Amino acid sequence: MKIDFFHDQTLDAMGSYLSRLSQRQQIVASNLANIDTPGYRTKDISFHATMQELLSENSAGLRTSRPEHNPGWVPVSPQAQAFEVQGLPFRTDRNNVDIDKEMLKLSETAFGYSLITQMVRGKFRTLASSINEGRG
Amino acid sequence: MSLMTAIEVGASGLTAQRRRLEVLVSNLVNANTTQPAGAEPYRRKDVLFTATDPEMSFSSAFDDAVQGVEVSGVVTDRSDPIKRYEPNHPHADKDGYVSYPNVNAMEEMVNVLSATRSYEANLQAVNMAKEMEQKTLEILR
Repeated sequence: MKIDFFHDQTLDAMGSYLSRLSQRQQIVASNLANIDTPGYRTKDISFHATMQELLSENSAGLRTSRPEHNPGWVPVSPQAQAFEVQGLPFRTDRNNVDIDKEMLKLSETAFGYSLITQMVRGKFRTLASSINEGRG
Repeated sequence: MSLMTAIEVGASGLTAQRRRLEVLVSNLVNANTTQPAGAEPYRRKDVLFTATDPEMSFSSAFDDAVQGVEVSGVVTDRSDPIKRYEPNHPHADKDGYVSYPNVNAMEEMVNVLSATRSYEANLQAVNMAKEMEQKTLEILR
């Protein structure tokens, strides 16, 4: 089995996912900073829409023979699209930032980030292990 | 652009909420400040927040969505002062009324609490972004 560490799709996918998570953290910070700004609307970035888009193109995922097969790892595109969150109740100052929802997103994103960095570390540990011929 | 932008945006929120708190405290401390009859009494003030683009932004569709906040102005509440009948007060007018500022201590306390909570939320955002930066550095270890 040939392992090309420098063209590792998993690593690429994790990298773009990390950058997407850091962009989400920026959006959440922006929502929280503008929690008392009249007329400000809650923003977010989409993970699932990008995922669907990539699945339809299926440029980098695994080849599948049936549509219900799992196409495997799909790198998240680094180009994020921000959108305004719909359906939130507006306050009298036409602002619709919900502090609890934003705090939840904040820890959710940080948790996801921590998870993926652990996985990246694992990848590099694997490489280090093969460099040292499995001795540590 | 990066987590640094998240920190910058969070910091702008901290600054804005701190300035709001300063104005609110100035309302509270002057709640009983009177002026000689005829002079303009203290009037309650509030801040105006406006969303701004962070300094480190590049103009892409995403960066335009990330916005910090700034205090764009301090506005004065033009509602009428509260008149109290205190004929022995040195600042009473000829009818014995003293003009007290249009400050409602209860309302101000609610605003102070709101500013404190918003400050804490922004602080949390900055800390989370810092934590994520730290995680990135840990990959190198």
